[in-house]
Amino acid sequence: MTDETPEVPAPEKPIHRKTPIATPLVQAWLDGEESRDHLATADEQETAEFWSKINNEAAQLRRRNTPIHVQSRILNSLTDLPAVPDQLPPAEKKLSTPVMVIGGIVILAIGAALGFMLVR
Amino acid sequence: MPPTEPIDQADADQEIITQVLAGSKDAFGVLIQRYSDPLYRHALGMTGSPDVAEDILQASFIKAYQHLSEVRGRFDAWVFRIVANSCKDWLKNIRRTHVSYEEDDQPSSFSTPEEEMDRNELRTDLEYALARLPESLREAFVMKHVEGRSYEEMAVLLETTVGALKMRVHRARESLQALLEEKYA
Repeated sequence: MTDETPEVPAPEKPIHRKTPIATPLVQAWLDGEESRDHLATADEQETAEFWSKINNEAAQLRRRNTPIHVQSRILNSLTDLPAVPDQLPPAEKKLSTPVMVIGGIVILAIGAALGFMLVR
Repeated sequence: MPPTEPIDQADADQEIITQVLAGSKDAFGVLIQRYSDPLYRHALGMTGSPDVAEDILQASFIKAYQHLSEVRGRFDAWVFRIVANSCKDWLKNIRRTHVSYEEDDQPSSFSTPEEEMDRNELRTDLEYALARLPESLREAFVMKHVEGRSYEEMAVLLETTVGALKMRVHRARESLQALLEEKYA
């Protein structure tokens, strides 16, 4: 036996209203370029409220520091490594080039002078 | 780390690098102390896992130490790129091996009960939502909102333009809002 009573559609679940998309003004506020006071509409205020919660959480994450034991662990791991390849840092490399040129000129001058003296 | 920071910070770093290259391993500890916190936060924001962030930090500083003679320009930007690339490699690898973000992020890795309690629901949801963003958007959002960097500073570190970064952060916000608003709006 079939139930011929027309099926009553289930009551629709209330649709959760989504937050309004962040307007350029809200984005500018989040970028620190505008004051929240400049957010005029209710939608903008609602979006700003949502982002305030997220920002509070992000600010807590910002306070996280490296655990002390990690710094020690890194330092200890360096002791097992050979010393850094003995190579001059870039600044010293740059400085050494003119010194080498001047040295070369001096050596050439001395050689020329000695040669001249020997010829005489 | 900002580009507006006094030039003497870069000079001070160069001085330390010179000492390390001259054989003083201990001098490298100054660089670790100086930069580990922002680098750790970046790795933590990108991976969502304290354990992974610690490992990436350690591996990155060892790599930096071994290649110290190759530093060109600012040390902080150079070492940041090592960490950032390591994070991206980890993310690629974890996607390839299908290990989920949540599986890797074990709460037991928090060292104190306070830290455990601090990990509230919103944080968990935020980290989960971040994990669903494309790498470039996640990176931009983490640097802006979690690390609190300016766009100018980000542009120096990521070697791109302020405009491009603003675009990424704005898109990241839109995606995160869509992911989180059901619960938190």
